[in-house]
Amino acid sequence: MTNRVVITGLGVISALGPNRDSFWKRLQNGEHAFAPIEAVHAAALRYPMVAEVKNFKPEDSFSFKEIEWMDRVTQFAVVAAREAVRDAGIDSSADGKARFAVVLGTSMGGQTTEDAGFRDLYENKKRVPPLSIPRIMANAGASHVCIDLGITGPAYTISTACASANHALGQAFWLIRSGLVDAAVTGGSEAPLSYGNLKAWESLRVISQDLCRPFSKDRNGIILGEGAGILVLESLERAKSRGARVYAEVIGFGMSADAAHMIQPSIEGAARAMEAALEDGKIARDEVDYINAHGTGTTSNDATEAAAIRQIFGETSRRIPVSSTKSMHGHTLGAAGGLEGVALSLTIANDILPPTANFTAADPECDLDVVPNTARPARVRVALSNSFAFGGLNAVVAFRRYDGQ
Amino acid sequence: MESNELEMLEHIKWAVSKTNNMPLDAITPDTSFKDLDFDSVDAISVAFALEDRLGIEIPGDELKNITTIREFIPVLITAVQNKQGEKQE
Repeated sequence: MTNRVVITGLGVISALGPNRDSFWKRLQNGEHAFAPIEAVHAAALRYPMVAEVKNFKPEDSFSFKEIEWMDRVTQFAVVAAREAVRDAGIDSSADGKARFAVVLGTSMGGQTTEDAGFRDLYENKKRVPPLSIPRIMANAGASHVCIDLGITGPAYTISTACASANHALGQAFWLIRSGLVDAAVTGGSEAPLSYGNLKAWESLRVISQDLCRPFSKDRNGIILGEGAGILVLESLERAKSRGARVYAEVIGFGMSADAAHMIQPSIEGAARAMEAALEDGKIARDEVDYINAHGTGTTSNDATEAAAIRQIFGETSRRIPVSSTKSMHGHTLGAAGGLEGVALSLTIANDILPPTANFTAADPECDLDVVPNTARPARVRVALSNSFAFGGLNAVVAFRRYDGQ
Repeated sequence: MESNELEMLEHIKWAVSKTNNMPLDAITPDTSFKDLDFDSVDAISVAFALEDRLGIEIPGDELKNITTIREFIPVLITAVQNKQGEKQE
């Protein structure tokens, strides 16, 4: 049994805004969300710029008791999942809830809780609060989404650093395609802006001092972001039977391991993941009209990704627009593929390519059409969403436009 | 080599020896990062150790073009001077 799989619901909370519409509006405008951090004392950081979710009040979405059980990363996951399920117009707790899956990605898990709890232990000689473990564990987001939405099918969390959400999306796609389940809530969530974690990133020296400028000659690093991007996937049959609106179809998923270096990317590894996604979806190279890049804004990632794209698409690679929305919502690590999956769904559904923002000058090492600074109307047939993680674990998802056929 | 350069050289040798788990006397000014099988992350670890030891800040951009121990010396001298400048302010 092989099902076609379509995207019928989207939810997102990010530094660009509290929901899907605010996210998409600012992506189209090429507006970034970078500013000095407010949650942590910015002066204590060498690299204070972040993409922070501001004005988020958990009490607007959750009861006092729920908040006790949920780290910020889980709150983001549930808020975005609720929006996605509402957007899809389905009752996930009705009949069929056991054939509904939840597959989410996160890199850091309940980082905020962990950082605060351990700081109190070490510095203030306090005890660690009793709910710390269920708040910190990486699967808490998937568990709370199940509890909140009444979903009882296969549910798990994937943690592959910056590729977590794309690995999750691909797994959810395969679960539905193979007939194991009929629908899935998938994507990723991350809340990495704790003091300890920011200091650890600072030591690694991959953070930009000012702005994230993917593919630009003067790019100087990533900027961390937080949030969640969630998609509802369904079998085409199920979606059709209830007359659901379809954003796009998921048609291919490819994975690879660099087996090389923990943080330096590999052209071969990235290329093999793209190739695997094309093969999985039986996609001809000349069908691909757009790539939502991993595009982190580091010197090595962007040059490596550009070389991998050239390796797969050859001379035609210059004709394929490639943009990095991380230039606006930041690098949300385990949520990245979720936010970018939502962005790509909206790209295809609205016939608009979001730009690579903050672009100043072309780099011969990144010889691509990166849709600099201004969104562009375009009809996309097939598109890829790339994620290449620290640890050399890569995941690429392929989407196709859905015209009711 | 002037005395402050020699002093910085000793700090760098200490940091490289610590990072690469090798004896101090195996490291000379002309030892290249390539000889040491260093990548960019090893250079970051050396800078981190020196920042900790000397209480200084070495900007990330400075590390990009360093290929030998000798080239690290002026970077370290500048970082130490910057710190002294801050103190006087």
